[in-house]
This record gives sequence, structure tokens and C-alpha cells, in this order.
Amino acid sequence: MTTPLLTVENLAVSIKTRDGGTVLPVREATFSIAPGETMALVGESGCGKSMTCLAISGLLPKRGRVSSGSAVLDGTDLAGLDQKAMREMRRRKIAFVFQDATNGLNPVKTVGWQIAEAVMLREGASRKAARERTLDLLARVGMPDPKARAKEFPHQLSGGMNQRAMIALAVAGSPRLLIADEATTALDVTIQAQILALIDDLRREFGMAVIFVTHDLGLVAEMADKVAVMYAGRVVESASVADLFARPDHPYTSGLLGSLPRVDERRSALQVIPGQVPPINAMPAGCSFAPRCPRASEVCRSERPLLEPHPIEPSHARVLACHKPVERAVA
Amino acid sequence: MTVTYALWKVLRAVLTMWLVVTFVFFVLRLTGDPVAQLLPDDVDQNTIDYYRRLWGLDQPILVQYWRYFEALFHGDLGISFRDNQDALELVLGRLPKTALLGFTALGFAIAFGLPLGVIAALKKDSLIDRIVMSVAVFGFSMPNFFLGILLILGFSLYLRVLPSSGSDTWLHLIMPALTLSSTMGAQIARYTRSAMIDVMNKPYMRTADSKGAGTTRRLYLHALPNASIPIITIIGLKIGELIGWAVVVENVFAWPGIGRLLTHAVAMRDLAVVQCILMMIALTMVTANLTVDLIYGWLDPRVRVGAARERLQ
Amino acid sequence: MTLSLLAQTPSRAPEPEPAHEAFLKLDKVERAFVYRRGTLTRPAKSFNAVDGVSLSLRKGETMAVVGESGCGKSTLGRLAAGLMRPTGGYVDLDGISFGELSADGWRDSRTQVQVIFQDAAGSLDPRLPVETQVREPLDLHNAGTREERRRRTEEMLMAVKLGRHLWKAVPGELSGGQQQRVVIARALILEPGLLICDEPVSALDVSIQAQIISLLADMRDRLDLTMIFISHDLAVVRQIADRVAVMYLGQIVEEGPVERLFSAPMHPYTKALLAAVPVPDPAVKRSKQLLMGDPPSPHAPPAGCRFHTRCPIATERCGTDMPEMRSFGSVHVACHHAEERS
Repeated sequence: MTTPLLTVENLAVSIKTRDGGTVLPVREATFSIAPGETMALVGESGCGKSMTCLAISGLLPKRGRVSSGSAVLDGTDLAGLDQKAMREMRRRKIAFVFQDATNGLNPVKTVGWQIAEAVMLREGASRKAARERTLDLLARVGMPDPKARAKEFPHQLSGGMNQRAMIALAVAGSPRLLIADEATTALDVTIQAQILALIDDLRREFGMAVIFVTHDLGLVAEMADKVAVMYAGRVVESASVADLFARPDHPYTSGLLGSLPRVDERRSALQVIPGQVPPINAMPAGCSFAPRCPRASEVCRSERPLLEPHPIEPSHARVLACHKPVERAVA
Repeated sequence: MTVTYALWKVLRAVLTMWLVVTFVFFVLRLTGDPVAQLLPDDVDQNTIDYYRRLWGLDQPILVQYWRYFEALFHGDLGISFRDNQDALELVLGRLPKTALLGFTALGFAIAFGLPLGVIAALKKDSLIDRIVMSVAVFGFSMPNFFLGILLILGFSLYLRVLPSSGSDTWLHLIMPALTLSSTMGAQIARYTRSAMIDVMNKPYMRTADSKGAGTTRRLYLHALPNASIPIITIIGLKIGELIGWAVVVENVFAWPGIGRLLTHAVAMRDLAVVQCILMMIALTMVTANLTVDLIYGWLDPRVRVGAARERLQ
Repeated sequence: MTLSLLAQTPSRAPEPEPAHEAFLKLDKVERAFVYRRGTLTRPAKSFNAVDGVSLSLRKGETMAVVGESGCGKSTLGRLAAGLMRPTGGYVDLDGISFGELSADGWRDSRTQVQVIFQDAAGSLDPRLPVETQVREPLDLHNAGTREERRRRTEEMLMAVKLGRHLWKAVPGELSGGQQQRVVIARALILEPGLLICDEPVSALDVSIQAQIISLLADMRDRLDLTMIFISHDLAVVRQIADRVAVMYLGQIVEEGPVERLFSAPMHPYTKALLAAVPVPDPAVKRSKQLLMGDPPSPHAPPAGCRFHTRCPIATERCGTDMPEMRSFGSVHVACHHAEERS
């Protein structure tokens, strides 16, 4: 087994609310990712997947902080770094691609300027060298007519082109870890396919590890090597993509897969997960999924399950947090 | 695109000027007879008629209006009824003093308002933020003349460090300019704060952060260029108010500018002078707005260059 | 503008009744939008967001309209709903042309057609309890006695499975899924014949999305609704539609029964669209044929076949001749090379 590039353990994020209280959008995030590997962090809105990644890269909003746990990247615990050291990490090792590229780029600066800035900050290049490197990068991300596009402003480009620019900006300086936070959600499917293929190419070329933060299980199946499923601030199941889709152990994962319409077949009926995610400030005492879980029993409502290998068939690569995992068909 | 944009703005400015001149002309002429105001009560009808003819007031109002415009295009804005001097010359003679006061006040307002607003935004909800905003509310709600009197009491009568009236040295300038800048400075601080808070929460600021850009770079190269767009708009709009307040402040500090001249001219119904000053004020406001519009186009590429690929839906 | 549009509304020649009566019929429907206002020296520029679309739906049928942003599918929905007048062609509902209706007839026809949008929160009044909002259409149309209206509202709220404790709540207190339930209840309380759904589940999370899709399918079967389901999500479409129309730059490029179209797409754009949707099954590895580039601006669609600039099999002819819609059994395709690929 290769040494992981990033190991996140029991990470929790707390955010101060305006009325003086605190909420915990992330309670227990645990996963690891090896160099060059693609991992998907999947879950529904509000499950804490984005917040986890913002915490890793030190981009939490002002009122937020890592309240416990660790995130070790190349031997450095990111949770313990001060702002300046964290900024150095973002220059050298961690890059981010956000969802809405058109708003994610500065409206009063040209696309070229914004990429050149990243090149200067990350590679320490001179202004002139940065300008040349920008054109290389734009060509590399498949921007048509890079020279002309570099002089244009984000509002002059399509969403797909802006996302390409955002990716060029992110891979400047060859980061070790690229976090793509719903990077293709706002795009049309044919453009999404282009962007996904591009990210995968760049991953191979630069040897980056990629974390896809997404709600789209289809994207997970096509892009990722492994996957961590989050629910209500916790990673509830984590496994290789092949294992997870073949045999989901956690009732939530199983329900999620069952509720998914598929483009390649019509399902007789979509499975429905009843109810909704409990509000962030009123989490139940036991397992947070228990109120919606068809398999929940007394122990689920009183005792919070820990993220551990499967009780019956333990395997190192596969963990879940559930007292009553989905029964596996006897082989 | 840019040329059309600029031409369109200039055309609108000219139209505004014409409307102002016309409006002022009719309102002044329909609200009272200047001859009766200027001459002593006991003069005979012949004298009155003589002056009426001399100033063209015996003609129908539309003819007066036509003549006025004719003269206007020859650079003739009429004669001051009171001291028989060319009205334009009289006003232009006072202009430098008012311009000096106005620009100094504008400078003070920006020099105080902008940084304070930025600091308040960066330290949002902190003690500094609250202090800055309290001062701003104070400066915004305190009447100008009252602040002027307070300053005179403090610095002239009590401390005896600054002169209370006149315009001879730069020391004379400090108090009137400060007084005049208080309202505008407070408003600039408030708008800067809200514009900065708005910009700091935009997704592109997080992108800049994700590149590893430092605080200074984020502030000067990413946040301020965006925040300056609404701030400049507000400054342009407030310049009009500044001129209004200048009338009050000039009277409080006996500053020999256009504001004082206007007060006297109105009292005497010195039509040509009043009209000339009002035109001057309107011209300043129109120019300020025009400048803002043009700067706006220059600052904001979304105004300057239209979308090459207009998006739908 | 409005006047000239009215003048352009075409007069209809009487025609024989078709064998199986279409409940909703769109015939060569066009809708132009001005995208740059004119000046003295420069004429206004306009383009057809919907350009010559013909469709017909039988009673109880669900037609999905799919395509990427800017393809005109939402405009088509508004035209079908009568929310917008076509600038060419006509829209018939149950034998009546929308264009011919008087103001009164128009209001009556509103009870026949209802629309559901993506943004449930935005289409609800934030201050009124949801029960009142669901009952409101009945009140407006003075349907039955007060007691009957109350009873029907209750039945409808139960049918959309909104918990009784939420009936007095205002929309802000509900989740996105619950809000969409309220919107559906309000749309269906007058028992319309036609329901237009414009991206009804796009804003919802997967687990909630499944709930709403199931609810819509259930209500459709119960009320014998005819439905137009506009979506960019092909997986959702496969789950709910009987037939599918694929749009590209304002035109329909392929239309047919859902199973046939998804399993054996004929138009290269349909193929590319289907191939681009990720499948949630790592065991399925499909050859990916990526479409190059962005779609052209709808303001200046390419000559000939509008898809030819991105089409992998385009020939010279595709750049010059606009392909006619041709029928291959139950599927209709506008492509010069359709038979080679079937």
C-alpha cells in the first residue's frame, strides 16, 4: 500500500452563529487519499462535504475553525497551521476548483491576468514568464484561441470556458492535491464530460491526487477510485468505488443508490428515503440517519456508531459507521 | 461601443443643462419683480419703467427667454442689476475660492471616509467597526452649520489656534473644509464599508485566497477595484449635495465664495447673478455625473465591453 | 412590439380531424425574442428561441423535452402553457387554439393548464400559510361551497403527502422538497388537463428528488394528466416520460418513445447527450465520444443542420441543407444521415 498523501482523521469544524452559539457542519470526517488517486466525497447538500474541503485548505469562512481532529498532508498537520503557513500550502500543494467559475473569477480582471497571478504566486515566475506560461496553461486546458481569450473578461466567456480558465489557474504550480468542489454541477452534460475528461488527463500528467466533492453518484462511478459518503457531518461509509456500488453496506448509501434514476435503464420504481436530514442544530442522540432508516433499532437511536471495518467481513479498505448494516447476500 | 456609450452620456448631460437653465429662468421671472426690490419705495413710475426697459423686463417672457439664450451663446450671461458688473465675471471671480473649498473638502472626505470604511469592513463587527460607524452616523446626522459653530467655539474662541473667518491663509481653509467634508466623509465611509463587505463575500475573493494571495494583494488588487465601482457612483452623486452645503458653510465662516454671493444675490433678486450661479452649480453636478459615468465604464469591463457571447435564459 | 406580434398571429385554415385526437398540439411554433434593441440607424436584432417546433400529445401522455441550457426548452414550455404567444405557428389545447381566446376564455383555459417551476420557494407567497395557498385557486374560481373547498384542499394536501402539522406553516418553514409538494398540490387542485413541469426536481437533493418524481408519476396516473416534463437531466426523464423530444438551438432534432430513443438513439446529438451522462455503476464502462466545443450562440445559429459544427459525422451537405424531420417507425429524426446509423 502506498503512503497516503492526505490523511484526514475525525476532523470537526465549528462555526460561530450570529447569536453567539456554535454549530458543527462537520463532526467526524475521516478518509485518506494516495498520490495520483481520485477520491469522491459524496453526500447531499448540507452534509458537510464542501466544508470539510474548505477546512483542509484553510479557506473556512471567518467564523469557522477546525475544532478537533487532524488533516495530515505530506507529514504536516494542516489543522495546526497558522494563516501564513496555510497560505504557503495553498501556493505549493493544494488547489481548488469551485462550482461557479463565472462568479469565481474576478469580473474586473482579464482571465489571463488571473491565471498569470496564480503562476506568479505559485511558481515565483516573473511577470513576463508568467504571461507566457499562462498561454501554455490555457492551451493545455483546451481553451480555443488562448491568446485572444486571455485578454477577455469572465463575462465574455461561456461557463465551460470559464471553468477551463479556473482549472488552468488551479493547476498552475503543479499542486499535489486538487479539490474539485461540484466543479461541473453548473455545466451542461456535454460540457461536463469535457471538463471531467480534462481533469482526469491533468491528474495523470501532474500526478495530482483529486478530490471530487459531488452529489452526483454517476460522476463518482465514472471518475473516482474510492469514495467516502457523508451524512449530517460524518463520513458514514468509505470504500473503493467498485465495492461501494456493488454492495453498499450502509442503509443510507443503499437508499441513495436505490433512489437514483438511471439513464441506461428505467427502474420499476425509485426507492424513496422517507423524511429529511435533521437540522444541524438538532441532531439526534444516536446515529443521525436513524430517524430515516428502515433498519434502525433501539441501539441506533441511543448509541452513535463508530467508523469501523465491517463487523462480519472486516476489510481494511472498507469502513462504515452502522450498527445494522445492510445484509449481504450469501455468496 | 465605448464611443456610443460616451456620446449618449454627453447628449444626456447637455439636455439636462438645457432643462435646468429653462426651469431657473422661468421660476425666477415668475416669482417677483426685481425692479421693485432694487429701487427705493418712493421712486416714480418713469424710473421703474426706465429700468424695466433697460433690463428688457418689459418684453413678453418668451421674448426674454429667446434673448437670454441668444446672449448665452455669445457668452453673455447678463449684467448684475445691483452693481452693473458682468454677471459671469462676478461669479468667475468668486469661483476659485469655492473650488478651493470644495475640492479640499472632497479630498478630506475621501481621505477619511475611504480608509475608515475599508477598515470597518475588514474588522466587521469588532470594536473598531462599531466606533467608526458611530462616528459616521454622528457626522452624517450633525447639521453642518452646527458643527461649524462648534469648531469655531473650540478652535477659535477657546484654543485660539485657527481663524474663525476669512480666506487669507491655508489656516483659514481648515475649519470650513472639515465642516463641509463631514457629511460626505461619513457617507463615503458607510458606503465603502457595505461595498467592501459585499465584495469580500464574493466567490472570486475565495478564488484569490485559494491561489495563495496575501491579504494586501487581495485587498488592493481584488477587492478594491470591484468595491470602487459603487463607491465612485456615490461620490459623484454626493458632489451635488456638497455644493448645496457649501452655501451654508461659506456663510458660517464668511468664506468669500459663490455661496455667499448667491445668498446676497437671492436676497436682492439680482436675477442675472442668481441665474449664472445656478447654472454653474448645475454644470458642476452634470459634469460630476458625466465623469462618474465615464469612469464607471472604464472601471467596469461589463459596461465597457458588452458580452461577446450573450447568454440566454 | 405587442401590436405587431398580434398582427402576426396566423389565421388557421380548417382541417379534417385527425384519427386519434391530440390533446395538445403544437404546429410549426416559433417564438422570436429581440436581443438587441434598435436605434434610428440600426434595426433591432431578434432570433427564434423556438424555431418551427411541431409536437402532439394524446390525453394522459407524458412528453419530456430535453436539451442543454439555451436550447429553448423552457420557452417551448411557456408557449405550450399559453403563458406566451407564439410569433409563428399555433398551439391547440383540446381543440381550442390559444391565440383565438378572448380574455374570459383565457381565464377559463388557465384552469386547464398549470405550470410547475424549479424554484418552488419563489413561486409561493412567503407570508401565507401553505393551506391557504393551496386553496386559493378554488377560492378564485368560486368552486363549490366553503366547506367543499376546505375538504378538497385537505384531500389534496394528503395526496401530496404533506404532514398535517405543516399545513399552517409558511413556506419559509418548509424544506425544498416540502415546498415543491405544496406547489404541486396548488397546481393540481383545479384538476387541470395539462401540467407543464419546468425542471421540477433540479434544485432538490437525490433522496428528495426520488420522492417528488414518484409523487408526480402517482398524481399523473390518478388524475389522467397530460404532462410536458422539461429537464436537462436525462436520467430523471427516462424514469417518468412516455416520449422524449430532444432540442438543439430551438429545434427538435429527435422525438420518439422513451425506451426506443434511449436504447437506440438515431441523431448524433442524442447519442452524444446520452453518452455524456455519467452512469452510477462502475461496472458499466462505455466508450465516450466527447462533443467538442461549446454550442454556438442561439442568436446566430449555423446554416444547414444546426448541429453540424459539433457533429462527428457531418458531411458537406449538413453545412448547407437544413434536414427535414423524417419518420423511422415511431421515431422522428432530423438528420441527413439517420438511416446509415439506425
